[in-house]
Amino acid sequence: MDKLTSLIHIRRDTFLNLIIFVLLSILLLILPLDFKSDVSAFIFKFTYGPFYSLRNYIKELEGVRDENKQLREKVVELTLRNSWLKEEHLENQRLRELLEFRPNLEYEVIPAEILSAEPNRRYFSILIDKGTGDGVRRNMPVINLQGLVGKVVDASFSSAVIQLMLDPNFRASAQDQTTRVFGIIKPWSGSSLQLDNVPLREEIRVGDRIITSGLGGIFPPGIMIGVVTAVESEEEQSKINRSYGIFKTIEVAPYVDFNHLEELFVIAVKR
Amino acid sequence: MLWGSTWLTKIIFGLLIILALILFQAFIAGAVTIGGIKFDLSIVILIYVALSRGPVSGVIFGFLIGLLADIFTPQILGWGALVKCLIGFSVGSFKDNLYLDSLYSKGGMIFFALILNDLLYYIFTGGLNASLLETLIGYTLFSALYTSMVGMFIFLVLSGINWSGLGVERKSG
Repeated sequence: MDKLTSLIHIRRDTFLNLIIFVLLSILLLILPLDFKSDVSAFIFKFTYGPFYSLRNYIKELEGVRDENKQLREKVVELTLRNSWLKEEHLENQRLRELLEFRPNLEYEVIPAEILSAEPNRRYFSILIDKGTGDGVRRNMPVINLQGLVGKVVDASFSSAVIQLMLDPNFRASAQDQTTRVFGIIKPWSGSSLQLDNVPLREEIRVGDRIITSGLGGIFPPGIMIGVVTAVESEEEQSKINRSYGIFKTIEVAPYVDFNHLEELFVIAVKR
Repeated sequence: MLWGSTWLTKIIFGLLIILALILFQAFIAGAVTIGGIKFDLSIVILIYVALSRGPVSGVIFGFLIGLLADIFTPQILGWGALVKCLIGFSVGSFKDNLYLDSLYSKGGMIFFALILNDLLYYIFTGGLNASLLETLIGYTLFSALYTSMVGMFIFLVLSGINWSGLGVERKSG
């Protein structure tokens, strides 16, 4: 009997607990959805919430570590590529400049180094390390990356003498690149040049580029000579009575820096 | 089995079990999922508690565990709690009549409890329809097998632990 009472007692407590939690579950089921959502969010915040945040943080850190590693590799790759591209760019620039001084496919360019340079000498000449043995001949034009330097006036087997544009006896047929006006380029005062034989009626402006015209057969057309820095007007010329008013007086600054000559190129005609 | 004699100890152990479930869900559950088949640790814990502590603990744990699962789907908040508390009560009340001395019997209990849990869940959310059987066979069956096999292993480990050596009073049941 006592055992039965004890069993009923236990069962009653058990059933009471069961009914309480069943009713509680049913109550939760019938509550409005908004309220249920709030209750769920509240419970989640204090149970799973902190651990899910920690899990997501750890995953993010792993992702950051992987991304960091990938980015470091990318940085190294891009740095190398950047360095290579810079070299490519510089080489491209050099080749472009060389190509611009290559008048046409009929000419061959012979690179030369300066053996002696004495711009103060009477003939304003320099000696280079290429001669007839390398294909250099008299009257061959000589240029550098900036423009026209001069021409070969004498050549031995292994060297040659170059007459610079600054030499008082130097002359070359030239042309305004814009207006196509012809003239003769010759040295003037100091390191500047003069474009001579340009009729007064012709249009030439300060800033115009002067290039070789190709007339005369010595200098190929299109080689850069200099830029017009001054053009005397007809009135000014009459005033100072420097000329009879037939030709313009045009001052040209050469592109080449004759105080810093380094690499030179002799232009030879291909046979 | 591992409860202390005081209410405080019972509450602490109870909270530790809940915490273990939460940690499992947050950090481990994904890693032990095989081809989409999940391991349901909550059912294993519920069966273990109900078998070891009886129907009252089964009801309370069933309610709490079910509620923790329901918060992910607020529209059915309370249904999982109801189902699991009934499962806990049933297992705890009739454990002596179910011949659950062997490990395989306990594994079978886990298997059927999970089938019943999922069946009631799918009926409540989707009703009785053709896809129900497909879901039960394609997913629940494999999940129940997976859970019961691992559950038996957990039961084995727990029964082999010397709880008295850890200072925890063992209670029969």
